[in-house]
Amino acid sequence: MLTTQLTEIRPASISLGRGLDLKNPVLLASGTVSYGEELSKLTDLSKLGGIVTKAISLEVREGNLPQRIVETPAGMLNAIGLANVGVEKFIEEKMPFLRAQQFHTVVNIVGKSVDDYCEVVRRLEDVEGISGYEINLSCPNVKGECIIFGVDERATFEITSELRKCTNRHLMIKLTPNVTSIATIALAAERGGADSVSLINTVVGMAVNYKTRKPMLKNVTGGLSGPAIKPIALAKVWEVYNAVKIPIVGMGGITNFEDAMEFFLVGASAVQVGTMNFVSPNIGATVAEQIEHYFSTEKGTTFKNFIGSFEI
Amino acid sequence: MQIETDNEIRDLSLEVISNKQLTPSINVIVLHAPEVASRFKAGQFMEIKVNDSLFPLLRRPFSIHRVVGEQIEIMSKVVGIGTKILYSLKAGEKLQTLAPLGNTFGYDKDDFDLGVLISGGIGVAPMVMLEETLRARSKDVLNIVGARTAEELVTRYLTNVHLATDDGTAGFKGNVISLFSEILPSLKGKRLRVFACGPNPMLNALSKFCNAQEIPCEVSIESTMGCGIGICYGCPVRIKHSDGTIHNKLLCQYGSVIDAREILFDE
Repeated sequence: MLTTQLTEIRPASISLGRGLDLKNPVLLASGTVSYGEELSKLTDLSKLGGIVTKAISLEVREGNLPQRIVETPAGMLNAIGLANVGVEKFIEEKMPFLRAQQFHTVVNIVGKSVDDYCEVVRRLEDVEGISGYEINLSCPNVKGECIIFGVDERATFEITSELRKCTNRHLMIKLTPNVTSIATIALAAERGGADSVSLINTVVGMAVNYKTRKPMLKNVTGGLSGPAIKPIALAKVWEVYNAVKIPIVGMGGITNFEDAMEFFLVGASAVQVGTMNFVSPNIGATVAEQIEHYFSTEKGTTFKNFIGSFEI
Repeated sequence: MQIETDNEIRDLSLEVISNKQLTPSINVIVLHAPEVASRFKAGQFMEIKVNDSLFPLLRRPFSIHRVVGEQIEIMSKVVGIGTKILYSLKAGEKLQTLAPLGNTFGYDKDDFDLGVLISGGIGVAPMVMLEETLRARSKDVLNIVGARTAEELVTRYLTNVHLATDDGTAGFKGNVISLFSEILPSLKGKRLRVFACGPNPMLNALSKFCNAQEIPCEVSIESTMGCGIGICYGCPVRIKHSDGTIHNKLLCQYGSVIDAREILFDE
Protein backbone atom coordinates (compact mmCIF):
# COMPACT_ATOMS: atom_id res chain seq x y z
CA MET A 1 0.00 0.00 0.00
CA LEU A 2 2.77 2.38 1.03
CA THR A 3 4.80 1.53 -2.08
CA THR A 4 1.94 2.26 -4.48
CA GLN A 5 1.35 5.62 -2.82
CA LEU A 6 4.96 6.59 -3.11
CA THR A 7 5.45 5.73 -6.74
CA GLU A 8 2.73 8.19 -7.70
CA ILE A 9 4.11 11.28 -9.34
CA ARG A 10 3.50 14.11 -6.91
CA PRO A 11 4.56 17.75 -7.16
CA ALA A 12 7.06 17.70 -4.31
CA SER A 13 8.08 14.05 -4.05
CA ILE A 14 11.73 13.48 -3.32
CA SER A 15 14.07 10.54 -3.01
CA LEU A 16 16.61 10.85 -0.22
CA GLY A 17 18.30 7.65 -1.34
CA ARG A 18 18.31 3.95 -0.57
CA GLY A 19 14.53 3.61 -0.64
CA LEU A 20 13.58 6.63 1.40
CA ASP A 21 11.32 7.96 -1.35
CA LEU A 22 9.07 10.59 0.17
CA LYS A 23 5.75 11.57 -1.40
CA ASN A 24 6.44 15.04 -0.07
CA PRO A 25 9.42 16.51 1.78
CA VAL A 26 7.84 16.84 5.24
CA LEU A 27 8.78 14.62 8.15
CA LEU A 28 7.95 15.11 11.80
CA ALA A 29 11.03 15.36 13.99
CA SER A 30 12.19 12.87 16.56
CA GLY A 31 11.14 13.64 20.10
CA THR A 32 8.09 15.60 18.99
CA VAL A 33 5.80 12.79 17.80
CA SER A 34 6.46 10.01 20.29
CA TYR A 35 5.73 6.93 18.11
CA GLY A 36 2.93 8.50 16.08
CA GLU A 37 -0.15 7.09 17.72
CA GLU A 38 -1.12 10.06 19.88
CA LEU A 39 -0.86 12.55 16.99
CA SER A 40 -2.74 10.25 14.62
CA LYS A 41 -5.89 11.02 16.60
CA LEU A 42 -5.53 14.72 15.86
CA THR A 43 -4.12 14.88 12.35
CA ASP A 44 -3.91 12.85 9.16
CA LEU A 45 -0.34 11.58 9.28
CA SER A 46 -0.72 9.98 5.84
CA LYS A 47 -0.40 13.48 4.37
CA LEU A 48 3.24 13.51 5.49
CA GLY A 49 6.34 12.10 3.89
CA GLY A 50 7.02 10.37 7.18
CA ILE A 51 7.80 10.59 10.84
CA VAL A 52 10.98 10.12 12.83
CA THR A 53 10.35 8.22 16.06
CA LYS A 54 11.44 9.22 19.51
CA ALA A 55 15.00 8.00 20.07
CA ILE A 56 15.27 4.27 20.72
CA SER A 57 18.05 2.79 22.81
CA LEU A 58 19.01 -0.79 23.51
CA GLU A 59 17.52 -0.65 26.99
CA VAL A 60 14.44 1.08 28.39
CA ARG A 61 15.20 4.53 29.81
CA GLU A 62 13.28 6.44 32.44
CA GLY A 63 14.64 9.83 31.36
CA ASN A 64 15.38 12.83 33.55
CA LEU A 65 13.44 13.90 36.61
CA PRO A 66 11.27 17.01 36.35
CA GLN A 67 11.57 19.78 35.49
CA ARG A 68 12.21 18.69 31.93
CA ILE A 69 10.99 21.66 29.90
CA VAL A 70 11.00 25.44 30.16
CA GLU A 71 9.40 27.87 27.77
CA THR A 72 11.62 30.69 26.52
CA PRO A 73 10.89 33.54 24.10
CA ALA A 74 9.62 31.92 20.88
CA GLY A 75 11.07 28.61 21.93
CA MET A 76 11.55 26.04 24.61
CA LEU A 77 14.36 24.27 26.41
CA ASN A 78 14.08 20.56 26.96
CA ALA A 79 16.10 18.02 28.87
CA ILE A 80 13.94 14.91 28.59
CA GLY A 81 16.92 12.57 28.86
CA LEU A 82 16.00 10.17 26.05
CA ALA A 83 13.14 8.52 27.93
CA ASN A 84 12.06 5.58 25.74
CA VAL A 85 10.65 2.08 25.83
CA GLY A 86 13.81 0.34 24.59
CA VAL A 87 14.23 -1.48 21.29
CA GLU A 88 12.42 -4.72 22.16
CA LYS A 89 9.28 -3.04 23.46
CA PHE A 90 9.42 -0.65 20.53
CA ILE A 91 9.29 -3.57 18.11
CA GLU A 92 6.57 -5.32 20.07
CA GLU A 93 4.35 -2.40 21.08
CA LYS A 94 4.97 0.49 18.70
CA MET A 95 5.82 -1.10 15.34
CA PRO A 96 2.40 -2.76 14.70
CA PHE A 97 0.80 0.71 14.57
CA LEU A 98 3.61 2.24 12.51
CA ARG A 99 3.73 -0.66 10.04
CA ALA A 100 0.08 -0.14 9.14
CA GLN A 101 0.51 3.54 8.24
CA GLN A 102 0.71 5.35 4.92
CA PHE A 103 3.92 7.21 5.70
CA HIS A 104 7.57 6.36 6.09
CA THR A 105 8.86 5.49 9.54
CA VAL A 106 12.42 6.52 10.25
CA VAL A 107 13.66 5.20 13.59
CA ASN A 108 15.87 7.52 15.61
CA ILE A 109 18.60 5.60 17.42
CA VAL A 110 20.72 6.53 20.38
CA GLY A 111 23.43 4.72 22.32
CA LYS A 112 26.38 4.88 24.66
CA SER A 113 28.88 3.18 22.37
CA VAL A 114 29.36 2.20 18.74
CA ASP A 115 28.34 -1.34 19.71
CA ASP A 116 25.14 -0.01 21.28
CA TYR A 117 24.08 1.77 18.10
CA CYS A 118 24.97 -1.23 15.92
CA GLU A 119 23.09 -3.62 18.19
CA VAL A 120 19.89 -1.55 17.98
CA VAL A 121 20.18 -1.45 14.18
CA ARG A 122 20.80 -5.20 14.05
CA ARG A 123 17.67 -5.86 16.09
CA LEU A 124 15.59 -3.59 13.86
CA GLU A 125 17.05 -4.69 10.55
CA ASP A 126 14.60 -7.53 9.94
CA VAL A 127 11.61 -5.69 11.32
CA GLU A 128 9.23 -4.74 8.53
CA GLY A 129 7.83 -1.25 8.15
CA ILE A 130 11.01 0.72 8.83
CA SER A 131 12.34 2.89 6.01
CA GLY A 132 15.56 4.09 7.57
CA TYR A 133 17.45 5.14 10.64
CA GLU A 134 18.24 8.59 11.92
CA ILE A 135 21.35 8.30 14.04
CA ASN A 136 21.25 10.63 16.99
CA LEU A 137 24.82 11.77 17.54
CA SER A 138 23.68 15.00 19.00
CA CYS A 139 21.43 14.82 22.06
CA PRO A 140 22.86 17.43 24.42
CA ASN A 141 21.02 16.22 27.54
CA VAL A 142 22.63 12.95 28.53
CA LYS A 143 26.18 13.30 29.71
CA GLY A 144 28.97 11.31 28.07
CA GLU A 145 26.69 9.78 25.48
CA CYS A 146 25.70 10.38 21.88
CA ILE A 147 26.89 13.97 21.79
CA ILE A 148 30.50 12.82 22.32
CA PHE A 149 30.34 11.29 18.83
CA GLY A 150 28.57 14.19 17.17
CA VAL A 151 31.12 16.83 18.17
CA ASP A 152 34.07 14.84 16.87
CA GLU A 153 34.90 14.41 13.18
CA ARG A 154 36.77 11.13 13.61
CA ALA A 155 34.14 9.56 15.91
CA THR A 156 31.37 10.58 13.49
CA PHE A 157 33.22 8.93 10.62
CA GLU A 158 33.84 5.75 12.61
CA ILE A 159 30.32 5.28 13.90
CA THR A 160 28.83 6.02 10.48
CA SER A 161 31.09 3.49 8.76
CA GLU A 162 30.34 0.84 11.38
CA LEU A 163 26.60 1.43 11.03
CA ARG A 164 26.92 1.34 7.24
CA LYS A 165 28.17 -2.26 7.59
CA CYS A 166 25.06 -3.16 9.66
CA THR A 167 22.33 -1.93 7.35
CA ASN A 168 21.19 -1.53 3.78
CA ARG A 169 18.48 0.85 4.89
CA HIS A 170 18.66 4.61 4.64
CA LEU A 171 21.16 6.02 7.12
CA MET A 172 20.54 9.62 8.17
CA ILE A 173 23.03 11.19 10.56
CA LYS A 174 21.58 13.87 12.83
CA LEU A 175 24.00 16.68 13.52
CA THR A 176 24.41 19.08 16.40
CA PRO A 177 24.93 22.81 15.90
CA ASN A 178 27.03 22.88 19.08
CA VAL A 179 30.32 22.53 17.20
CA THR A 180 32.90 24.82 15.65
CA SER A 181 32.41 23.50 12.12
CA ILE A 182 29.25 21.58 11.33
CA ALA A 183 30.39 21.15 7.71
CA THR A 184 33.44 19.16 8.87
CA ILE A 185 31.22 16.77 10.84
CA ALA A 186 28.78 16.48 7.92
CA LEU A 187 31.65 15.59 5.59
CA ALA A 188 32.81 12.91 8.03
CA ALA A 189 29.31 11.40 7.99
CA GLU A 190 29.28 11.50 4.19
CA ARG A 191 32.69 9.80 3.99
CA GLY A 192 31.46 7.18 6.44
CA GLY A 193 28.62 6.24 4.11
CA ALA A 194 25.65 8.26 5.32
CA ASP A 195 22.78 8.61 2.85
CA SER A 196 21.74 11.96 4.28
CA VAL A 197 22.35 14.33 7.17
CA SER A 198 19.66 15.97 9.25
CA LEU A 199 20.20 19.23 11.08
CA ILE A 200 20.01 20.95 13.42
CA ASN A 201 19.45 19.22 16.72
CA THR A 202 18.78 21.60 19.61
CA VAL A 203 21.10 24.39 20.66
CA VAL A 204 22.48 24.08 24.20
CA GLY A 205 20.88 26.65 26.47
CA MET A 206 20.01 27.38 30.04
CA ALA A 207 17.28 29.08 32.05
CA VAL A 208 17.86 30.18 35.63
CA ASN A 209 15.92 31.74 38.47
CA TYR A 210 17.82 34.58 40.15
CA LYS A 211 15.51 34.49 43.19
CA THR A 212 15.96 30.83 44.07
CA ARG A 213 19.46 30.85 42.52
CA LYS A 214 18.58 27.51 40.93
CA PRO A 215 18.45 26.25 37.36
CA MET A 216 14.97 25.91 35.86
CA LEU A 217 15.80 22.45 34.50
CA LYS A 218 16.80 19.53 36.72
CA ASN A 219 19.50 18.78 34.15
CA VAL A 220 20.74 22.41 34.48
CA THR A 221 21.24 22.83 30.73
CA GLY A 222 18.85 21.82 27.97
CA GLY A 223 18.32 21.96 24.25
CA LEU A 224 16.71 25.05 22.76
CA SER A 225 14.18 24.47 19.98
CA GLY A 226 11.35 26.33 18.30
CA PRO A 227 11.20 29.45 16.12
CA ALA A 228 13.94 31.10 18.19
CA ILE A 229 16.56 28.86 16.55
CA LYS A 230 15.41 29.10 12.92
CA PRO A 231 18.09 31.63 11.88
CA ILE A 232 20.81 29.37 13.31
CA ALA A 233 19.35 26.35 11.54
CA LEU A 234 19.17 28.14 8.19
CA ALA A 235 22.82 29.20 8.45
CA LYS A 236 23.92 25.66 9.33
CA VAL A 237 21.94 24.07 6.49
CA TRP A 238 23.48 26.55 4.04
CA GLU A 239 26.95 25.82 5.39
CA VAL A 240 26.49 22.06 5.08
CA TYR A 241 24.86 22.36 1.65
CA ASN A 242 28.03 23.99 0.40
CA ALA A 243 30.14 21.13 1.75
CA VAL A 244 28.40 17.80 1.06
CA LYS A 245 26.75 16.08 -1.90
CA ILE A 246 24.29 13.90 0.04
CA PRO A 247 20.77 15.23 0.73
CA ILE A 248 20.15 17.45 3.72
CA VAL A 249 17.08 17.23 5.93
CA GLY A 250 16.65 20.66 7.49
CA MET A 251 14.95 21.49 10.74
CA GLY A 252 14.88 24.07 13.48
CA GLY A 253 11.92 26.28 14.25
CA ILE A 254 9.69 25.52 11.28
CA THR A 255 6.23 26.86 12.07
CA ASN A 256 4.63 27.15 8.64
CA PHE A 257 4.93 26.72 4.86
CA GLU A 258 7.11 29.81 4.42
CA ASP A 259 9.66 28.56 6.95
CA ALA A 260 9.88 25.21 5.16
CA MET A 261 10.42 26.96 1.81
CA GLU A 262 13.32 28.92 3.31
CA PHE A 263 15.01 25.64 4.26
CA PHE A 264 14.58 24.25 0.71
CA LEU A 265 15.95 27.49 -0.70
CA VAL A 266 19.21 27.20 1.25
CA GLY A 267 19.69 23.56 0.35
CA ALA A 268 17.45 21.19 2.30
CA SER A 269 15.87 18.40 0.24
CA ALA A 270 13.35 17.71 2.99
CA VAL A 271 12.40 19.23 6.31
CA GLN A 272 11.36 18.07 9.74
CA VAL A 273 8.75 19.87 11.79
CA GLY A 274 9.41 19.57 15.51
CA THR A 275 8.43 21.77 18.43
CA MET A 276 5.45 23.21 16.54
CA ASN A 277 3.73 19.80 16.77
CA PHE A 278 3.26 20.55 20.47
CA VAL A 279 1.48 23.78 19.65
CA SER A 280 -0.44 22.73 16.57
CA PRO A 281 -0.89 18.97 16.06
CA ASN A 282 -1.99 19.47 12.45
CA ILE A 283 0.94 21.66 11.42
CA GLY A 284 2.99 19.03 9.57
CA ALA A 285 0.09 17.95 7.37
CA THR A 286 -0.80 21.59 6.66
CA VAL A 287 2.77 22.45 5.63
CA ALA A 288 2.97 19.33 3.43
CA GLU A 289 -0.28 20.22 1.65
CA GLN A 290 0.82 23.79 1.06
CA ILE A 291 4.18 22.70 -0.36
CA GLU A 292 2.46 20.29 -2.74
CA HIS A 293 -0.01 22.97 -3.74
CA TYR A 294 2.77 25.49 -4.37
CA PHE A 295 4.78 23.21 -6.63
CA SER A 296 1.72 22.01 -8.50
CA THR A 297 0.59 25.55 -9.32
CA GLU A 298 3.82 27.55 -9.50
CA LYS A 299 5.05 27.78 -13.07
CA GLY A 300 8.72 28.02 -13.93
CA THR A 301 10.16 25.87 -11.14
CA THR A 302 10.04 22.33 -9.93
CA PHE A 303 10.64 21.27 -6.36
CA LYS A 304 13.98 19.68 -7.23
CA ASN A 305 15.15 22.81 -9.04
CA PHE A 306 14.08 24.96 -6.13
CA ILE A 307 16.31 23.10 -3.65
CA GLY A 308 19.44 25.17 -3.04
CA SER A 309 18.44 27.83 -5.57
CA PHE A 310 19.51 30.52 -3.13
CA GLU A 311 20.95 33.59 -4.89
CA ILE A 312 23.47 35.74 -3.07
CA MET B 1 -6.91 6.83 37.08
CA GLN B 2 -10.51 6.22 38.04
CA ILE B 3 -12.91 6.49 35.20
CA GLU B 4 -12.74 5.71 31.52
CA THR B 5 -13.89 8.73 29.59
CA ASP B 6 -14.83 9.42 26.01
CA ASN B 7 -11.53 11.03 25.27
CA GLU B 8 -11.77 12.00 21.66
CA ILE B 9 -9.63 15.12 21.78
CA ARG B 10 -10.66 18.07 19.63
CA ASP B 11 -8.47 20.97 18.49
CA LEU B 12 -10.97 23.83 18.41
CA SER B 13 -11.05 27.59 18.12
CA LEU B 14 -13.46 28.75 20.83
CA GLU B 15 -15.01 32.18 21.21
CA VAL B 16 -14.73 34.09 24.46
CA ILE B 17 -18.23 34.99 25.71
CA SER B 18 -17.02 36.94 28.71
CA ASN B 19 -14.03 37.46 30.97
CA LYS B 20 -14.74 38.41 34.54
CA GLN B 21 -11.91 39.66 36.77
CA LEU B 22 -12.77 38.33 40.24
CA THR B 23 -9.67 39.61 42.05
CA PRO B 24 -6.64 41.67 40.95
CA SER B 25 -5.08 38.41 39.74
CA ILE B 26 -7.87 35.85 39.24
CA ASN B 27 -10.32 35.81 36.35
CA VAL B 28 -12.96 33.51 34.88
CA ILE B 29 -13.21 33.12 31.13
CA VAL B 30 -16.44 31.80 29.63
CA LEU B 31 -16.02 30.01 26.31
CA HIS B 32 -18.66 28.94 23.82
CA ALA B 33 -17.86 25.27 23.27
CA PRO B 34 -20.86 23.38 21.89
CA GLU B 35 -18.69 20.57 20.46
CA VAL B 36 -17.05 19.57 23.72
CA ALA B 37 -18.82 21.19 26.71
CA SER B 38 -21.06 18.22 27.47
CA ARG B 39 -18.14 15.80 27.35
CA PHE B 40 -16.11 17.41 30.12
CA LYS B 41 -15.95 15.57 33.42
CA ALA B 42 -14.78 16.86 36.78
CA GLY B 43 -11.00 16.90 37.03
CA GLN B 44 -10.31 17.09 33.30
CA PHE B 45 -8.37 19.90 31.72
CA MET B 46 -7.75 21.65 28.45
CA GLU B 47 -4.71 23.15 26.71
CA ILE B 48 -5.11 26.77 25.67
CA LYS B 49 -3.05 28.82 23.21
CA VAL B 50 -3.43 32.31 24.66
CA ASN B 51 -2.80 34.12 21.37
CA ASP B 52 -1.87 33.32 17.77
CA SER B 53 1.68 34.67 18.08
CA LEU B 54 4.92 32.72 18.57
CA PHE B 55 5.36 34.32 21.97
CA PRO B 56 4.33 32.75 24.20
CA LEU B 57 4.77 29.65 22.08
CA LEU B 58 3.22 26.74 23.93
CA ARG B 59 -0.32 26.09 25.03
CA ARG B 60 -1.04 26.04 28.75
CA PRO B 61 -3.08 23.56 30.77
CA PHE B 62 -6.20 24.72 32.65
CA SER B 63 -8.67 22.66 34.63
CA ILE B 64 -12.35 23.06 33.90
CA HIS B 65 -14.03 25.29 36.46
CA ARG B 66 -17.66 24.86 35.39
CA VAL B 67 -19.79 23.69 32.50
CA VAL B 68 -23.08 25.47 31.87
CA GLY B 69 -24.92 24.16 28.83
CA GLU B 70 -22.71 24.82 25.82
CA GLN B 71 -20.38 27.05 27.80
CA ILE B 72 -17.27 26.14 29.71
CA GLU B 73 -15.62 28.28 32.33
CA ILE B 74 -11.90 28.47 33.01
CA MET B 75 -10.55 30.04 36.18
CA SER B 76 -7.07 31.47 35.73
CA LYS B 77 -4.56 33.21 37.98
CA VAL B 78 -1.91 35.56 36.65
CA VAL B 79 1.47 33.88 37.16
CA GLY B 80 3.29 34.68 33.95
CA ILE B 81 3.00 36.09 30.46
CA GLY B 82 0.36 33.63 29.25
CA THR B 83 -2.04 34.09 32.15
CA LYS B 84 -1.49 37.86 31.97
CA ILE B 85 -2.82 37.80 28.41
CA LEU B 86 -5.79 35.70 29.53
CA TYR B 87 -6.55 38.16 32.32
CA SER B 88 -7.22 40.98 29.90
CA LEU B 89 -8.91 38.96 27.16
CA LYS B 90 -12.01 40.55 25.62
CA ALA B 91 -15.34 39.00 24.67
CA GLY B 92 -15.38 38.02 21.02
CA GLU B 93 -11.71 37.00 20.93
CA LYS B 94 -10.90 33.39 20.09
CA LEU B 95 -8.71 30.83 21.80
CA GLN B 96 -7.30 27.68 20.21
CA THR B 97 -7.97 24.82 22.61
CA LEU B 98 -7.26 21.10 22.86
CA ALA B 99 -9.89 19.29 24.88
CA PRO B 100 -10.97 17.35 26.79
CA LEU B 101 -7.70 16.11 28.28
CA GLY B 102 -6.76 13.91 31.22
CA ASN B 103 -8.58 11.60 33.59
CA THR B 104 -11.24 12.56 36.12
CA PHE B 105 -11.69 12.69 39.85
CA GLY B 106 -12.99 9.42 41.28
CA TYR B 107 -16.46 10.80 42.01
CA ASP B 108 -18.14 7.51 41.08
CA LYS B 109 -16.31 5.46 43.72
CA ASP B 110 -18.63 3.82 46.20
CA ASP B 111 -16.21 3.83 49.15
CA PHE B 112 -17.31 7.24 50.50
CA ASP B 113 -20.34 9.26 51.53
CA LEU B 114 -18.63 12.59 52.17
CA GLY B 115 -16.32 14.17 49.64
CA VAL B 116 -13.80 16.48 51.31
CA LEU B 117 -12.67 18.98 48.69
CA ILE B 118 -9.40 20.59 49.71
CA SER B 119 -7.95 23.35 47.59
CA GLY B 120 -5.13 25.83 47.84
CA GLY B 121 -4.88 29.04 45.81
CA ILE B 122 -6.02 28.63 42.21
CA GLY B 123 -6.44 24.91 43.00
CA VAL B 124 -10.02 25.87 43.82
CA ALA B 125 -10.74 26.07 40.07
CA PRO B 126 -11.89 22.44 39.44
CA MET B 127 -13.79 22.13 42.74
CA VAL B 128 -17.02 23.74 41.53
CA MET B 129 -17.54 21.15 38.82
CA LEU B 130 -16.51 18.40 41.23
CA GLU B 131 -18.98 19.56 43.89
CA GLU B 132 -21.81 19.66 41.34
CA THR B 133 -20.87 16.17 40.15
CA LEU B 134 -20.77 14.78 43.69
CA ARG B 135 -24.08 16.38 44.66
CA ALA B 136 -25.69 14.90 41.55
CA ARG B 137 -24.63 11.53 42.96
CA SER B 138 -26.15 12.33 46.35
CA LYS B 139 -22.79 12.58 48.07
CA ASP B 140 -22.20 15.06 50.87
CA VAL B 141 -19.58 17.71 50.27
CA LEU B 142 -17.29 19.66 52.58
CA ASN B 143 -14.96 22.30 51.16
CA ILE B 144 -11.71 23.42 52.71
CA VAL B 145 -10.35 26.37 50.77
CA GLY B 146 -6.99 27.93 51.52
CA ALA B 147 -5.07 30.96 50.28
CA ARG B 148 -2.23 33.15 51.44
CA THR B 149 -4.52 36.02 52.33
CA ALA B 150 -8.24 36.88 52.38
CA GLU B 151 -8.22 38.81 49.12
CA GLU B 152 -6.91 35.79 47.22
CA LEU B 153 -9.80 33.58 48.36
CA VAL B 154 -12.35 32.63 45.74
CA THR B 155 -15.21 30.37 46.81
CA ARG B 156 -17.95 31.15 44.31
CA TYR B 157 -20.57 28.38 43.84
CA LEU B 158 -19.02 26.27 46.61
CA THR B 159 -21.08 25.29 49.67
CA ASN B 160 -20.20 24.12 53.19
CA VAL B 161 -16.93 26.04 52.96
CA HIS B 162 -14.24 26.19 55.66
CA LEU B 163 -11.60 28.84 55.03
CA ALA B 164 -7.92 28.95 55.88
CA THR B 165 -5.45 31.75 55.24
CA ASP B 166 -1.73 31.81 55.95
CA ASP B 167 -2.00 35.26 57.52
CA GLY B 168 -5.30 34.69 59.33
CA THR B 169 -7.12 37.49 57.47
CA ALA B 170 -10.02 35.09 56.86
CA GLY B 171 -11.09 31.88 58.59
CA PHE B 172 -8.56 29.59 60.18
CA LYS B 173 -5.01 30.93 60.50
CA GLY B 174 -2.77 28.32 58.99
CA ASN B 175 -2.77 25.88 56.10
CA VAL B 176 -5.54 23.64 54.82
CA ILE B 177 -3.98 20.50 56.28
CA SER B 178 -3.95 21.93 59.80
CA LEU B 179 -7.56 22.99 59.32
CA PHE B 180 -8.51 19.56 58.01
CA SER B 181 -6.93 17.87 61.02
CA GLU B 182 -8.96 20.18 63.29
CA ILE B 183 -12.20 19.33 61.49
CA LEU B 184 -11.46 15.63 61.19
CA PRO B 185 -12.66 14.51 64.67
CA SER B 186 -16.10 15.98 63.93
CA LEU B 187 -16.34 13.74 60.85
CA LYS B 188 -15.83 10.55 62.82
CA GLY B 189 -17.93 7.65 61.57
CA LYS B 190 -18.34 9.08 58.08
CA ARG B 191 -16.77 7.43 55.08
CA LEU B 192 -14.51 10.12 53.59
CA ARG B 193 -12.67 10.59 50.33
CA VAL B 194 -10.41 13.59 49.90
CA PHE B 195 -10.15 15.35 46.55
CA ALA B 196 -7.42 17.95 46.41
CA CYS B 197 -5.90 20.50 44.08
CA GLY B 198 -3.30 23.15 44.80
CA PRO B 199 0.43 23.78 44.87
CA ASN B 200 2.55 20.62 44.91
CA PRO B 201 4.03 21.21 48.41
CA MET B 202 0.47 21.36 49.77
CA LEU B 203 -0.52 18.18 47.90
CA ASN B 204 2.62 16.45 49.14
CA ALA B 205 1.87 17.28 52.79
CA LEU B 206 -1.81 16.39 52.37
CA SER B 207 -0.99 13.07 50.71
CA LYS B 208 1.28 12.14 53.61
CA PHE B 209 -1.37 13.18 56.13
CA CYS B 210 -4.15 11.21 54.42
CA ASN B 211 -1.97 8.16 53.85
CA ALA B 212 -1.01 8.12 57.54
CA GLN B 213 -4.68 8.51 58.56
CA GLU B 214 -5.71 5.90 55.97
CA ILE B 215 -8.14 8.32 54.35
CA PRO B 216 -8.56 7.74 50.60
CA CYS B 217 -7.16 10.78 48.84
CA GLU B 218 -6.65 11.81 45.26
CA VAL B 219 -4.73 14.83 44.14
CA SER B 220 -4.89 16.85 40.93
CA ILE B 221 -1.26 17.66 40.22
CA GLU B 222 0.14 20.82 38.70
CA SER B 223 3.04 20.61 36.26
CA THR B 224 4.70 22.43 33.44
CA MET B 225 3.19 20.84 30.36
CA GLY B 226 4.41 21.17 26.79
CA CYS B 227 1.74 19.55 24.67
CA GLY B 228 -0.89 17.89 26.88
CA ILE B 229 -1.20 14.94 24.49
CA GLY B 230 1.77 12.73 25.37
CA ILE B 231 4.24 13.64 22.64
CA CYS B 232 6.70 16.04 24.29
CA TYR B 233 7.50 13.95 27.41
CA GLY B 234 7.84 17.18 29.37
CA CYS B 235 5.53 16.43 32.32
CA PRO B 236 6.85 13.38 34.15
CA VAL B 237 5.64 12.39 37.61
CA ARG B 238 7.15 9.69 39.80
CA ILE B 239 4.65 6.91 40.40
CA LYS B 240 5.06 4.15 42.98
CA HIS B 241 3.13 1.11 41.83
CA SER B 242 1.52 -1.40 44.20
CA ASP B 243 4.38 -3.85 43.54
CA GLY B 244 6.83 -1.26 44.88
CA THR B 245 8.42 -0.34 41.56
CA ILE B 246 8.82 3.33 40.69
CA HIS B 247 8.38 4.69 37.20
CA ASN B 248 8.14 8.04 35.47
CA LYS B 249 4.70 8.57 33.96
CA LEU B 250 3.54 11.52 31.89
CA LEU B 251 1.09 13.57 33.92
CA CYS B 252 -0.96 14.51 30.85
CA GLN B 253 -1.56 10.82 30.11
CA TYR B 254 -1.64 9.26 33.59
CA GLY B 255 -3.30 12.18 35.42
CA SER B 256 -3.77 14.86 36.20
CA VAL B 257 -5.66 13.18 39.09
CA ILE B 258 -3.47 10.66 40.92
CA ASP B 259 -4.03 8.53 44.03
CA ALA B 260 -2.13 9.94 47.02
CA ARG B 261 -0.60 6.52 47.72
CA GLU B 262 0.94 6.39 44.25
CA ILE B 263 2.42 9.82 43.76
CA LEU B 264 5.98 10.58 44.81
CA PHE B 265 6.76 14.26 45.04
CA ASP B 266 10.13 15.77 44.27
CA GLU B 267 11.54 16.89 47.60
